[in-house]
Amino acid sequence: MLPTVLTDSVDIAVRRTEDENMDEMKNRAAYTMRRRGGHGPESGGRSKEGPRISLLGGFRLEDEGAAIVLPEGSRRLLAFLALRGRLVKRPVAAGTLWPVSTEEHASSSLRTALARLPDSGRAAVEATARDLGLSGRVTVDIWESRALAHRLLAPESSTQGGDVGAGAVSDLSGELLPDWYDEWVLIEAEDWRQLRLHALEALATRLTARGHYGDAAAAALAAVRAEPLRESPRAALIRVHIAEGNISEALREFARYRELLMVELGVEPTERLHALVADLFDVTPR
Amino acid sequence: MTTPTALLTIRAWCEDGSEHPLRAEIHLTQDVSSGFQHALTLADSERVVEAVRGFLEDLVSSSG
Repeated sequence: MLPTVLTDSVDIAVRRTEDENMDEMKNRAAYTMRRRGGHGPESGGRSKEGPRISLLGGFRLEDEGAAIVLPEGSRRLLAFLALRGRLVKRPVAAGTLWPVSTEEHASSSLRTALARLPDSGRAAVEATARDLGLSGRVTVDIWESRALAHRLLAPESSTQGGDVGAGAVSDLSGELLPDWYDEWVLIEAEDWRQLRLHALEALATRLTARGHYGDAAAAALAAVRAEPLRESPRAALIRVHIAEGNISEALREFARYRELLMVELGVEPTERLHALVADLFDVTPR
Repeated sequence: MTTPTALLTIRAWCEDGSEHPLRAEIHLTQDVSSGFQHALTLADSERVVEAVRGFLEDLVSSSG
């Protein structure tokens, strides 16, 4: 049996940990509520006021439309918080952003990254002694684009006005932080790449159904550019041409893809893709 | 001066219905600060293994 003094101290320590956990849960719940009321990752909403972080096509922080230049450490910190979209414990942020440093050095780098934020950048961060997150006023382009992609992949009734148009093609065409090679970025970038590929194909299908063939072709082409050797975006593009009655362009696209596959991999398109264009050869004028 | 970090990523998927369904898109560099230096796509798992082995051998020989 433990001596009384020790059991008391253990008991106090346990109670303190429970209190701390409770405080932390309250903090996180309050943060989530604030974000939901504002422009959090879940809402995907966009406001013209307050700081805006762009991660698609490269990092950019703007406030009232003016670009703000940041030191590299501060840029990486804001990008990390934007990708997480929720409160992050300081040691987790430090360890992720400076993985090969000692814990002490990583913490110091984190403090420096925070200290070097200019006033407008500091307004974008919500910092407590334990946690870091983005303030409720911040908007982030990837949150909006992800929300758009999910709406396009959900049943048709989920889409909002303007979702199915040329603007959506642009919102889904950007790569996430190209030329950033940190592990925490590469995984998110790949996740975004997969989501946007599927969303662009779905967008092409919906635009085709509405007879908006130009925008439909742009959506399918954006998917093809992202993954030239993958068959499904190429099939989406061929279907747009067929729906428009542009048989020669459909056949040309098939031939381009077939040649690319042969040169790069020495393989033929699948039977499914062959079947998509098989009937077209009969209707092509000789 | 920090030691350069080499990086190799493989994005792989299968094209169902193809005679050779594997697609492995490989991006690699011996120094990430220069960005990806090479990209190749392969449809044969043995060639993917060869590419990974070659990447590691280049890394070891350049460090010596």
